[in-house]
Amino acid sequence: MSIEERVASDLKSAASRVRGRPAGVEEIRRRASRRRRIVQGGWIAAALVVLAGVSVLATSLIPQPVDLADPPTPSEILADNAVTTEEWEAAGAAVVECLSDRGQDAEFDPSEGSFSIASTAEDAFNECYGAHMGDSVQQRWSSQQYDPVADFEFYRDVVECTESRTDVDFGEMTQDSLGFASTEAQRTINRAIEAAPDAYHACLDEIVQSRGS
Amino acid sequence: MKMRRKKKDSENLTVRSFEGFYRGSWSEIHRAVSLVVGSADLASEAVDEAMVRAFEQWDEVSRFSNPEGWVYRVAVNWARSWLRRLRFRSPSEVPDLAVEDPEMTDPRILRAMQQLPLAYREVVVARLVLDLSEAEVAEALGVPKGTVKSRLHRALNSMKEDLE
Repeated sequence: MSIEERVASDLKSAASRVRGRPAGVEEIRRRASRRRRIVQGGWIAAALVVLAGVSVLATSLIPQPVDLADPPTPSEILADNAVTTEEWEAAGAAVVECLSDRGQDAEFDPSEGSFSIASTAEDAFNECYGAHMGDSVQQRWSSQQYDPVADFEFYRDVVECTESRTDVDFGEMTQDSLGFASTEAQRTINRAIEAAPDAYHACLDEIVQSRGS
Repeated sequence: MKMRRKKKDSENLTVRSFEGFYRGSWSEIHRAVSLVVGSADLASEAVDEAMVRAFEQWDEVSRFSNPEGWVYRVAVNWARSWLRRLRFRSPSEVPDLAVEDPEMTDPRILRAMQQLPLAYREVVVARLVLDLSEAEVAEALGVPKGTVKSRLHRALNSMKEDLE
């Protein structure tokens, strides 16, 4: 067996045992919708920045005061077990501000949750990130972006609709302990798609429209 | 009125096609990306992020000869930027790239794979796991065919040395 065949065989074997949890089409739609809003918001923000810059240049050359109000700590942000958009953006801005105080340029992309920093700023970043955002806020924010229960309910409704139109029982729609659609439910959805694609898609379209997503 | 109706039908058709693509290809792309990035969780995020972008541009992406290859590339790129970001965090947060599979014929192969640069891994997986032709890999990854050949050749040589 050549090295190529050996590698291919073993990697395929490893790949066959990898398990993942797709977010689901409905969640993909929601994320796409959010991204559109963010992009549109980004253009507005950019326009406001330009207008503000023109205004400052036109009216005064005196440096504007920087708002140094105490940013919330991660534990303060998570006091109500939730991260609002304002808190998320403020936390990112606080990390950037903290790095700036240490002489490091940084940018925060709230839609990606990413920071662009110089490789030399690693230590300062870890310090600032830990003080103002931390993994706890990052993870809470990420998990808030996805509602597995709503996703499950959406597909449960689609399957029920498909069953009522075809008079076929495609199987159980159950959730796992975290509220995600179980493996059994995924199989049920797949059975509905394969056995009655037209009815399934018609139901899916109707439910999407009825929910205004 | 008629125009509006027509547009609505067209949108429904687009949604339908994407739905089938998502359900039919997610697992295979996810497995491939997992092998490249060494983390099934990170790969899940990456593939779904890539799927969002595919959905946004589905009219165009669906016409590609190999939309799976496109999503694979976008997902690997997203994961790459995430891993790059993690470099600035504590080392313990970086995913364990040396995933072992006890049922593999030779677990050293996966370990040898993870020693390769990511640019080589993405070619190896696209060619040997997704079974794309060299031309398809080149198109999917946006690199010349010669680069695919040379990266695959070097990757396999390197792995061979690790296994000897």
